[in-house]
Amino acid sequence: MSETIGVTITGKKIVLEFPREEFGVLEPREIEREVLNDLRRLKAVKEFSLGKISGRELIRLLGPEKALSIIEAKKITEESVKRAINEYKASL
Amino acid sequence: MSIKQVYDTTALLSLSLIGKFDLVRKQGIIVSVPISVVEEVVEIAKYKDELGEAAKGLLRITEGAGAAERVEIEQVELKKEYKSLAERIARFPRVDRGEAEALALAYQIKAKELVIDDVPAIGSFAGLSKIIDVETVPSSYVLVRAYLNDALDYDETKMLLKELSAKRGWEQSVLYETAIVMLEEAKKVKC
Repeated sequence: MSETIGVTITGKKIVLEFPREEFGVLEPREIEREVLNDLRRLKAVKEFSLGKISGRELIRLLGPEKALSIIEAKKITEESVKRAINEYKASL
Repeated sequence: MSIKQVYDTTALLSLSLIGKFDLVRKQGIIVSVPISVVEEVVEIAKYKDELGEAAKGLLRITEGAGAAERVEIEQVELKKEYKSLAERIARFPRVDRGEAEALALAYQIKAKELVIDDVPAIGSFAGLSKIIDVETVPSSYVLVRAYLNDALDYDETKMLLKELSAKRGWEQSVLYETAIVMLEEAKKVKC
């Protein structure tokens, strides 16, 4: 398994990044596994954002380091928008 | 009323990716960045991918555009003590130089908010930003705020958030998906 393969999945593209010297020697199955992993992560983050899964479940799915950053990112997004809503209400 | 915000590279590029960096001008936001962020944007603009194009678009609107379209960005040099603070912040796990300097700059100029879309750095800044009294916010907040300020309508805001969620990676999608949920709260208040 390559330690340096990177996968970015967006709405339109799947971008694979790996060192040039690994091109041609990477197993297709390895690429498939990375793409599937990324899709699973994307799904987990989306479900967490929508409140469908808990932080505890996110930690189980992504590991503590990634999950804690995502939990904090959700928190600051919610708090910042709530502040903007309160400022809006106060301005009425 | 104008507010002072410091941006890191990820947040600048997010707004540029959807062609909406001019929202900062429409909302009276004064944008400041440390020199390292400018250097990062210039570096990214050399690439021919989507982010490279976003970086070029950002440089166009901040440097080359006519007076009507131009958005001013204040490029600020860090003072010695804040530079030293940035160096220490840059030793945090998952924080790069641009992000560290952006947080130190927000502290230096007493900015109300640091706008950043780098999820690992957001996680690392959690405690420190509270201590130095800088609110960490994502670019998705700038979009919802624009909706509340009538600079965007509801449908466009939702579409832009979805576009960002699709264009950025899985980790960053939390910033835009959460904002879509919060946009519904904002809509209830507005209606």
